[in-house]
Parts: sequence; structure tokens; C-alpha cells
Amino acid sequence: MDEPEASAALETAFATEWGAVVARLIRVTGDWALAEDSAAEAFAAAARRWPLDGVPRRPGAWLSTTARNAAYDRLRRRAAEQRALHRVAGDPTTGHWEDAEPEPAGWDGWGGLPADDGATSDDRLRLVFTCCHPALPLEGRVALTLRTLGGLEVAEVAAAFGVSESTMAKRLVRARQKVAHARIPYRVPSPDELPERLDGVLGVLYLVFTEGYAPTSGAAIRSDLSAEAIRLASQLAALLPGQSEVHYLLALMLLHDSRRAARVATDGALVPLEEQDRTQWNAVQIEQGLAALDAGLRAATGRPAGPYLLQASIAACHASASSPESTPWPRVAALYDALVGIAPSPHAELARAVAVGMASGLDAGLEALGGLDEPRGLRLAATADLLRRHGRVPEAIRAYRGAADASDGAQRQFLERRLAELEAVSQVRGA
Amino acid sequence: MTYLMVVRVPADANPTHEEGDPSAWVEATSDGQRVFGDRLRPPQDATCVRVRGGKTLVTHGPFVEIAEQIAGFDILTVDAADAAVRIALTHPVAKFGALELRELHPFELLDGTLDDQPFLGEPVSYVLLMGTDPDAPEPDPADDGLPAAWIELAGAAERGGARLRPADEAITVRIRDGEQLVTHGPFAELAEQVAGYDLLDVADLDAAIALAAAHPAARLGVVEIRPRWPIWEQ
Repeated sequence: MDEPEASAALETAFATEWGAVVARLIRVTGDWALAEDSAAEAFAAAARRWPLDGVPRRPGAWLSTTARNAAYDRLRRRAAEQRALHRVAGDPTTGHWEDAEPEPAGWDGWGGLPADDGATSDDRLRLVFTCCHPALPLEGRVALTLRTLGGLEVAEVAAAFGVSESTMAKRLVRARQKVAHARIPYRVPSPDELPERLDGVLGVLYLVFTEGYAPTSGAAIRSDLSAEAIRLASQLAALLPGQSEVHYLLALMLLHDSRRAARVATDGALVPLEEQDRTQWNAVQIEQGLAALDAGLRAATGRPAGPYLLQASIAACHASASSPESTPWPRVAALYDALVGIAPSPHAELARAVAVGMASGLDAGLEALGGLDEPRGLRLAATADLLRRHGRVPEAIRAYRGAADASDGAQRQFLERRLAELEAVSQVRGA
Repeated sequence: MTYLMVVRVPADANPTHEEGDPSAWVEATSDGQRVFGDRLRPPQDATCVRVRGGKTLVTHGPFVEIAEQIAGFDILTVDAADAAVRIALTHPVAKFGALELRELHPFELLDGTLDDQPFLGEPVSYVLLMGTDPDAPEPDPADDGLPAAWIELAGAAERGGARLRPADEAITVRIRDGEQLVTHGPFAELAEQVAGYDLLDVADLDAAIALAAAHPAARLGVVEIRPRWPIWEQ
């Protein structure tokens, strides 16, 4: 067995098995921290042993058994410590522990479980729904989803959200405590609760994805978080094949992420859609995204179109167009129209106005923009964009100046670049 | 008359075990005045339930974030308000927190009987605190807001509960620097006040959420779910 092969197998096992191993341990022990620690111990053991002994025939079962044994050892040690403590304290009520066969506290035994019983898909769903329970604070849901379900190190999750490791560790402790103290059940919601609770789960995954794709702070893209969100969404789609919303969200993520390589210039500035080198778009992800959209439409049960379907459909319009000009703008405008109707946001309204401008001409676009309120920076940027696309250079320059003044970060950098380009154009023309 | 005594402890209070221990007080009031009471899990373990436009909204935390957090409650049956005040003054929390006395105000149900069940006996695992919500929509005039159907639905899971008289009729008791401070009116002027409570015996939070969402108070205001935190538990 050579080492690269073992480490590739471990990487695959981590991506596919971590959640399952933790989910099952939580079900059996009811102890979240114990489950995470034991799963981490099993993966560490795999990293030591697989290069020497070879990759086991069924890596998932190997990891599950190793984690289970690690949990058992930890519980035995804990029980022994408690007994020692009681002896030291001379607590007479626990005298019977002295001669009883040590049985860890809270232990209901592995007796009924075959040694290689992997986690059932129900276990994984239980974990997904419990991590994203609406009674947990949103930041706690995100932390549990990435740490407990996704297996990211606490330090990685902390770095992804720009907080210290100890802050993130406290956040996780508080979230686990609420699960225990408020007795949030470890179960899959009943069919009548499922759609609402699933919306909550998808909301958390979407938040993780957007934090990776358009971070609120720091770098322009954090692909690790986007990749993690896509991985978890695709696992969820496999677990709940009949839920179209999961497929739509997965499609949306894949189609957006397919542009990742083309989306950021070498200097870190964002490259707008129309200027992206479409040959750099990830064809495999586009294909997977379109397939996920299709799977969702096939599973659809007549529920009215939600925001994920509309956003995924818009992304599909762009992904299927070989150039900005060949984009089906009237369809994009109609989809944004529907999106603004069910989930109004400044971003959707601006994008709608731009699409209207592309589909029906500058005046229609400017009229759509005119009706919008703040945020001023975004509206000015969209106005500037429309004017530029229609060749109204002096007006566009004025609008870009205003927009850049009202923006910051990568957005400002982008607007200033546009401004410089237009000023160069206008000088050439003026000369 | 029966009072719900809301035990409020400032978030930054740091009493020693001795200063905060209510066991002697519980012992002294065991001759019938104190019907039931216990500690509640802190606000970070609270969950709020609202029903708006037919949708159930579940959120983390208490319905109002304030310094003097609800730490526990007691149900007192007394002959007169003065007696309730005297009992409250002997509670250890009076010295560093506040005891808010709220008289029960039972609903008259449609058949003319009073919904007068402050406590139906153990077990109790969660307490529902019905809160007023200034942002709640105008109630539907056809909605009588009565909990009769809910009581039926909850069945044996309900271990007692009541509506409270308005917060401006509350009596708030504190002791500071040895001086007894008894004020008439709510413990703080807030738009969000406790308007009722219910004791529940259910297995887990989802069961408590389902009952909270079915209660008229979830439509008309907000229902906060607090797990009970038995005083002997760490």
C-alpha cells in the first residue's frame, strides 16, 4: 500500500463518512462532544494505520467500529474517574459501584448492534435536522453544521467566520448545551413538519455557501466554505430525493460555483458576469447543476416556485449562454420579476432592472431602477452599468463616481476600475 | 387569591451559593402558601414561538432581552396581597434581584366555568411564559383568544396554568441596603410583559413547541418555552 493511495482513500472517507460516524455515535450515546471527539480519534487512527496496513475493504465500517471503540474507552475512563472521585469524597451512596462491573454512566450498551452496523440514512438526517433546529441561534446552527456534521476543525470554522478559535469553541459549547438542556430531540421531523424544517436546513446551507461565495469580510471568495456547502447539499439531496427544494438549492450552488475560476481577477477584483472568460467555467459543475435542477423539477409536487428554483433557473440561463449577448434576457427578467415578488431584496430588484434594461432597452431599465430605494451605492452602480452598456459614457462616468463613493471593499475596487476604463475611453474619444 | 411570583435576577448578579440558596425559604413556606415553584433554565436555553399568518415561527432566546432575567417562579396562595408581599420579602433573591407578584386572572370559559388551575401536580418539565408582543398584528375580532380548545388538546400534558392580571397591577419587591422596596407596577416599564403561564409535562422541545404553537397566545403575542431546571441539578 503506498501512501498517496491511503491518503486519497482517507480524504474520500472523510468527505463521505464523517457525518455518518458522528450521527450514529450521537444516536447511541446522546453525547455530542463525545461523538465528535471519538470520530476525530478514528480518523486520526486511520491516518496512522491505513498507510501501513492498507485501506480496509469497507472504510466506512472500519471508521465506524474504531470510533465506537474510542467512545467506549472514553466512557469507561469517565466512569472510572467518577468512581475514583466518589471514593475520594467518601460518598456512601455510591458504595455499590465498588464491586459492580464498571458500566459507563449513560451507557445502554452496544449489545444489540452488529459490529459493522454503519449509520443509517435516518441517523444522518437526524443529525442534519438537529444541527439546524430553529430553536438554536443561527450562528450556533452554522457552527454545528460545519463542525459536527461537516467535520471541519473548530479552528477552520472560526477562521471562516473571522472569529477567534475560543469564541467559536464557546459558540459550539453553548449550542450543544442548548440541545441538551432544552431537550431538542434527535429525530427526523414528521412529514407535516418536514417542509418547514427543511427550509431552515436549506437556509443554513445557503448561508454557508454565500459566506464562501461572497464573504461579508476578507477575501473575495472562500472556496472551502462553498465546497463544503455543496458537499452537504448533495448528501442531503441523496438522502431526500423527493424534496425538490434540496435539488434546486444544490443546482443554484453548483451553477454559481461553476464560475468561480472566472469570477476573480489575478488582482483579487471581482470580474462581472459579462466579462468572464466563459471557457473557464466549470463544465462538469454546470452539467451537475443542470441535472440537479432537472431532478428537482421531476420531484416537484406543485408547490409554488420558491427562491431557490428561481435563482437556479436564472443561473441556468447564464450557464447555458455562450456569450452575454446570447443570454435569454427576457426570460431572465421574467424570473427576476417572480423572485422580487416572493423574496424582495435590493440585490434582486437591481438585477431585475438590469435584466429589463437588457431585454427591453435603456429607458425601460432606467425606469425600473428609478423606482428603487436605497441602498444608494447599489442603485448607482446598476444605473452606471446600464448607461455604460448603452454607450452613454459621460453619464455613466458620473454614475460610477457616485457609486464608488458609496461603496467599499471589492465592490469599490471594481467600480473604480470601470471608472478608469470609461475615462480612458472618453479621453480617446475627446482627443 | 393566587399569585405567580416571577423571580428576576440581574444577568450580572453573582450571589454566593449561600446568598442565593432558596431551600430555607422553600421550607418556611411549605405550610400551604407556596403551591409549586422551581428554577428555570437561563434565557440562552429559551425558545420563542409565534404564529403569524398561519405559519409557526420558532426563534432562539427569550421574548425580551433585559437585565433582570426570569430565573424561576413560584405559585403562592394567600389570603391577601400583603401576605404575598411578606413572603416575597423573605425570599433570598429580594436582596440582589426582584420578585414580581402577579395575581392570577382566570379566564371565564364559554360554558361559564372559570379556568382556574394554577397547578395540577407533578411532573412538570417545561414552563410556557405567554408574552405580550407589541409587534403582533391586530387580532381577528372573531378570535375569542380563549384557551378552551387548547386545554382539551393538551390533555394530561398540561399541568396547570393561568392568565395573569395586567402588568400595571403587579407588585414588585426588592431589598437594597437593608431597605424594603415595595413598588406597585411592573418591575420595569416594557411593552413586553408576561401575560400568563402554563406548566407542561412533555418529553422534548418539539412537543413543547407543538403545544406552544397551538395556544391562542402564539397568535396574539408570543410564547416563550423555558425548560425547568430543578434546584438540585447542577
